Amino acid sequence: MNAIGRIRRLWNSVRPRTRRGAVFAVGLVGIGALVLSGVLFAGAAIAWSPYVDFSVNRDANAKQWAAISMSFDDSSVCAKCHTPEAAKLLAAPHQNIGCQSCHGALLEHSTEAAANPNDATATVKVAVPTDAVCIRCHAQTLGRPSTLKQIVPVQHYVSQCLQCHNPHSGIANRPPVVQHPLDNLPNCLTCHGPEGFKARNQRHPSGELTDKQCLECHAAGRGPEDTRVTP
Amino acid sequence: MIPAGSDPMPAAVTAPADAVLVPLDELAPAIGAASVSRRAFLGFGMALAGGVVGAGALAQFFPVFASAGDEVSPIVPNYNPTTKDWTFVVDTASCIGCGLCVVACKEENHVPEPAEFTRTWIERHVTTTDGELYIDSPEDGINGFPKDSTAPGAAGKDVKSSYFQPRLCMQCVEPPCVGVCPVSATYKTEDGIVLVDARRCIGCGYCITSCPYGARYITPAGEDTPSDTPGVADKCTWCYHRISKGQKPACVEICPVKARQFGDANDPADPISAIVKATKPAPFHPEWGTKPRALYLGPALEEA
Repeated sequence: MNAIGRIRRLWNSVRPRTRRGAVFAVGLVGIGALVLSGVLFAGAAIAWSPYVDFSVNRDANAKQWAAISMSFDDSSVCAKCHTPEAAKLLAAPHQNIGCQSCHGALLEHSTEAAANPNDATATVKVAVPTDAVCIRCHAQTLGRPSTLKQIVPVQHYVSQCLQCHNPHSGIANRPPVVQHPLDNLPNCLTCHGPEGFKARNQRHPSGELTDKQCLECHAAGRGPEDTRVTP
Repeated sequence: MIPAGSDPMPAAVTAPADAVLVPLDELAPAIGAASVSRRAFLGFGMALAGGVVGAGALAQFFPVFASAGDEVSPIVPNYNPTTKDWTFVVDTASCIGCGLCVVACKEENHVPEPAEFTRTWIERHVTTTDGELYIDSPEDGINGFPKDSTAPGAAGKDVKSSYFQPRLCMQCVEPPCVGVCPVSATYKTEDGIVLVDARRCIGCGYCITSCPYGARYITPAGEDTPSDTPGVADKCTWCYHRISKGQKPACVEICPVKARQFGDANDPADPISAIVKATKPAPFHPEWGTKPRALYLGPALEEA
């Protein structure tokens, strides 16, 4: 007798009903194993897929890092709309400075503007830089290259930077120097009343001015010959 | 046991014949249970086909595998990380210490406000005439720098030389932070950028200790953080969300004196290759052996 013969005899000795049950049970376990392995395979495929957000795949994490929303745009897009400023900048000392260095993050502004090409007002307003923006780079500080123009803010004029300096053209708006003697005269505003200077120059502060304030800019020596007035 | 002499034929010869000759009628009940009827076969086939079609339809809305003609990388459409050689050049000779890079980084990446949490910072290195080196970095330089060094002991001394040193993650080719992470949370992408998987990070701080450039910090609780996860390691990603879409990092974009230059050295149209060729920048502290991708120019190299 051989082994197969003995298995056959054992199989034959079992009731036919029990034999059917055995085949059914084995088949059921087999199908169960197939389904389970299928579920596990699908689960693993999903868990490791770079295309699923919650997966453990590296690319899925890199994708999340890549999905952060931006605030800054490429400063070269500004010239598409702001042509005069861009043209002026080409000859200015600030020519290599990106717009966002002074004006801050502009992606929201440029996105809104691109979405409404025919409406110049339909975009996020961009703030005019304050003195603090100028001071950040131009205050005299240990460690700065000597090629950078630096001022000591408390020794510089007290007026606002942009009243005299144009950062786009690099040209300083030098105020006219007083050409007459200043002794024994009434207040400046007696002759140079608000009506007069308003028409000439919108930069003048409104309200009552003291002579001291006038002379901050218009005193002799604060004209084109003043070496301290730099672009 | 086979009784001796009961069968003169050797068992090896009779066995195959015996196995083949099992009468079919004896096995019939078993075959009847195991064999597949036509109806069951067709039903199974239909279910299989339906499953395949259903899975295909599901994959359209819920893609698990990349299909043919798909984008090169799953990270960002049309971004091929394998072709990139990201290069960052920091010029310490032209840096003016305005701190705009720190401002831009915090805004762009939602880095928490307090100074101890930062991805990039500026140091002022002041060498006095007696040969001492004083380093200060008030608030990481986010508000710029005061007129004179704030380093203890530096006040009143005559300055021999001074310069600003912008710092950020060097994106090392052999990053020690990746090696020490016990849960493999930090890893290097195909384009060489070292990232942190915030879901795996347990905040043990080994990477912070291992980084010789001090580029990492642990995110605080209760604040807006880059990964929206408190208590995990975070570091500069060279603005991975920007460079993978063709933009420059925010600090490079905002730098008014071009002290930070960035580009793909594999792209012939990118000016970074010409900059590297002309200025010959070098890694900062190459003796640390981490092979930094960020390269430095100017006095920082002479000091190091």
